[in-house]
Amino acid sequence: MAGGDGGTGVKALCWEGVGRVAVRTVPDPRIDNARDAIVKVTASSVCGSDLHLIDGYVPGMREGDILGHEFVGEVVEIGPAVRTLAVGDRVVVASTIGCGGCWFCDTDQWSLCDNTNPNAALSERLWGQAPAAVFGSSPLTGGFAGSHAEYVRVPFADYGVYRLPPNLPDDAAVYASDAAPTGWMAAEMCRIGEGDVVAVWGAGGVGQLAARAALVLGAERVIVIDRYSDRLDAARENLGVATIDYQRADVQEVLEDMTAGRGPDACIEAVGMEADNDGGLGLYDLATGRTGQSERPVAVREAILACRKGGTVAMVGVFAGLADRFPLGALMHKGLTLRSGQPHSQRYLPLVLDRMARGDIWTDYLTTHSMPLSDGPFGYELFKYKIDGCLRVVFHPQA
Amino acid sequence: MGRPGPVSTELGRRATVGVVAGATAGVVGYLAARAAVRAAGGGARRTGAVGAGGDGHRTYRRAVTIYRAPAEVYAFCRDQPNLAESIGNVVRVDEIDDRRSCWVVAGPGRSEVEFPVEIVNDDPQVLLDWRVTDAPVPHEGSVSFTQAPGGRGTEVRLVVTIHPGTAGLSGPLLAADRAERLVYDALRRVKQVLEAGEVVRVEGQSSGRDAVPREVITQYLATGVVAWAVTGGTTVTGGPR
Ligand SMILES: NC(=O)c1ccc[n+]([C@@H]2O[C@H](COP(=O)([O-])OP(=O)(O)OC[C@H]3O[C@@H](n4cnc5c(N)ncnc54)[C@H](O)[C@@H]3O)[C@@H](O)[C@H]2O)c1
Ligand SMILES: [Zn+2]
Ligand SMILES: [Zn+2]
Repeated sequence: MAGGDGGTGVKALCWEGVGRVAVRTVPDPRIDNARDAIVKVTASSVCGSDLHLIDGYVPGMREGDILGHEFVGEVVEIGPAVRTLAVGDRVVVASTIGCGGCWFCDTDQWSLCDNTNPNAALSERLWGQAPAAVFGSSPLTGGFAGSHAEYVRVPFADYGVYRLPPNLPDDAAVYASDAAPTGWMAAEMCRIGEGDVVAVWGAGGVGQLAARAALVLGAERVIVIDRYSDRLDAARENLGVATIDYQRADVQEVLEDMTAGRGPDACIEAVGMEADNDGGLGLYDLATGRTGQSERPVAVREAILACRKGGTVAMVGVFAGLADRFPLGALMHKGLTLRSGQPHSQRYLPLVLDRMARGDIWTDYLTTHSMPLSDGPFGYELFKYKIDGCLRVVFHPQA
Repeated sequence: MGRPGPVSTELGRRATVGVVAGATAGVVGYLAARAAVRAAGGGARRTGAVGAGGDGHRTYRRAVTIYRAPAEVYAFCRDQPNLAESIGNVVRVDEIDDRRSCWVVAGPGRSEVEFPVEIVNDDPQVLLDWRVTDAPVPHEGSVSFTQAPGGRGTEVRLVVTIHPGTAGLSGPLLAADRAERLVYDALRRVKQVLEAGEVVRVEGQSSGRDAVPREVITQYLATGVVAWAVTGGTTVTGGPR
């Protein structure tokens, strides 16, 4: 690794335009701020959030942006102000970047950090206030280069980088960056009480980890909803949850039946803006010709309609702009609580690592594909079209 | 640390002009330098489009909450070395006396603009007012510090009024929404330095826009799917573990 200008370049998976990614040789990342570290990436996972970027649903992406935000690796260089890390540390890095010094970081709401998003003014115009930066994302969430690269720059390294226990393999630890914290936070937002039934829309990595977290946090029963049978099978076999294939059954009807008319006490939406709108409440969009809107809040609608009176809907699928046909009436009259957010990874990461070590959370079955970074574009095809049983692809940039 | 511009060692610790005052003055100075460069190079692209006020003055207001006590925020704002750290365009600040100092601010390219800044009101931990009269872009500013509720730190409110200066300079300057942006950026920078200890930068980072060599190693999405289909759905690479 040659930091600075003298480098020979590193391989990185870049966004090339809507629906296109490619591996390029890019300049070596370098220490730009005193609190930066450079991490040699050994494993970096795909995530549903990347698909929103690749498919052009999140504004602001520029040709050449490096993707990836869930990763583990080895610290190879640290800035002069980094206090807690040493070269050689084997680490997992939080997907959200926190400064450690603002009110939000101080109150453990890391994904809302005031200071890590260099494009705050831009996000403020769209969202009122700016969230924290996230690796490998659009400028709206910082625009920092991502981890699908041989090396990555990690700003504020004292606050998002955690040493790994030697016995935790890369392909498991990589879920502690983002997917497991997101799933855990989703379940925690549900404030699960005794006897609670929790329904989870989306059987991707995030939905699976949310379902598991809901069980760990005491849910009586968890029901996972998707249309891919291999994903639903995986949830049943690995988590012991019930499943609904929304293309074969009316989700509202089945949930009503399963809960004898009460509805699930809490609903987790782990689908996001590219929800499939072929069935169920996606018909709203088809019927009104609104299929062109930038967001497809299909699963959120389903969750709000299904949810028990006074229950909680936790929305962790990613949205970026405005949505039409939102069931405000149901939300209001059923007295629901709607909660959301990017994960406060720094809050949940140590907890998740601990749960992994204790065997409460397992991830082996999630990594269906493991490949070198040079196969990145192919990996994203498998992941995007959910073919070959693909649940998650983990890249190995050093392979 | 935010890569501020070159800072003269003449920057004394005894300095009296505040960082927010300075930050804003610096920004306005930068705009002035930019306008001057434009004028020299054949002129302003746009004129007019100035906000309210018969003399064409324009007022910008921005506020941020800084998660530090008012005493600390105020003290920071009175300490000049912080200034150079916080904003990027100040070359040098020379003190004239207790209330006045001379600012040298970098403009685009190698240009520099020099102007005096005068503190006209200093109420420790509460308020700091300043005025810049003898400059291409005369302006006055005020920054106030109030305790935020619930231990959220200090509410810092900045008001800057820019007056039209030399004809031909003020037009493009005041027409620019950029002025407001830059004033806000300066405030945010102060917040970042106080809370996070540095202004994190993203520009100049590694990206595929500077690919070396600019070569595509693996092709686009969709080609692999075809390969996958052609091989009858057997995994081409990677493979289930
Ligand atoms: N809040 C966060 O910070 C955070 C973190 C990670 C991921 N995410 C988001 O979580 C979402 C899921 O991520 P993932 O990695 O699991 O992605 P994924 O693409 O693997 O999974 C999404 C799943 O949703 C299913 N789905 C689509 N439409 C549906 C519908 N109408 N009803 C039910 N299921 C439907 C898909 O079939 C797919 O299995 C994405 O929006 C992603 O951006 C959020
Ligand atoms: Zn993710
Ligand atoms: Zn912060």
